[in-house]
Amino acid sequence: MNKSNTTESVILFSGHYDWRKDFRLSLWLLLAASSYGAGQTWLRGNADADLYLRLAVGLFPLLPLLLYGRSWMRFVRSLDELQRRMQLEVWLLASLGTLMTGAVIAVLNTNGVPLGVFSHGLGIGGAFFIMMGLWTVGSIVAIRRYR
Amino acid sequence: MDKTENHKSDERCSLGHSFRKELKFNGWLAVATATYLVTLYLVRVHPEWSPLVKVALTLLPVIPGLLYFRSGMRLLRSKDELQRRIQLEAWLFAALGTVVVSAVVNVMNAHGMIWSQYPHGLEMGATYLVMFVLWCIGVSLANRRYT
Repeated sequence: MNKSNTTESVILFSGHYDWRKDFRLSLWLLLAASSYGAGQTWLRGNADADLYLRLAVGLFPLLPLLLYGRSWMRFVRSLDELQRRMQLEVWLLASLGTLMTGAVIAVLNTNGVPLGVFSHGLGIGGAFFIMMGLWTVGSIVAIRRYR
Repeated sequence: MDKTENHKSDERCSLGHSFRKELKFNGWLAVATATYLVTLYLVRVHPEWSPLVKVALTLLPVIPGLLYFRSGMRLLRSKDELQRRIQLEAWLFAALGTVVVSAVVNVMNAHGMIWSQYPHGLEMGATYLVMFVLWCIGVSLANRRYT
């Protein structure tokens, strides 16, 4: 990735969208999403499989997610100063919001409030979706603020 | 009064100012910690209280925690560019690392590896501790990188 990266190059309908850059950046994310989907389907059908195998399948999406984080950090480091700061602040907001939600869910679970699929906490899928939602909101707010 | 005394007096003023600033900044952290300890004690001593009261009490430290975060962000914005970047990267490292740790604990619990202390994932205290340790690591990594 060259030095002239901009966040608009990976935002659809921004007028500067570059699908090649977006694809290169999001490749690990696609792999994470597909491995998460396939893993969840497998886990539902194989509830009696070995514990460590189930754990390995359940935790596998973390690997492509961490690699996605690495490629995103590289992308952020090649942005200009303002956009880099915006992205760091937005990611910080998104991850703190996700942590807060996870802690609240844990407290509710501990006190016996039934939460269905979140009875063991957010998990990888829940954390990912909340973080993405907060990142989207934060990005929109930050872009509007600095425009 | 000679120049040396003036200088000493200025130094004392600046130290006093810095101490006041630090106290003001860490005040909310002290309030959050005290609230956390008191509510933890109350919830443990009175298990017969309704879940709603227990949830409200357990989540009470979130308010001073958010105020601490707000004063932290203000302090961060008043620092120079390099310090701001080091702190932002360290906080982001800590927050994302805690999200990953929390997701791993949740997945392990969901597959039957219940940790007696965290059967529903990381709560307030554990989230804070993990984040603090990761922030220390993040600051030393960022300092080593930029200095």
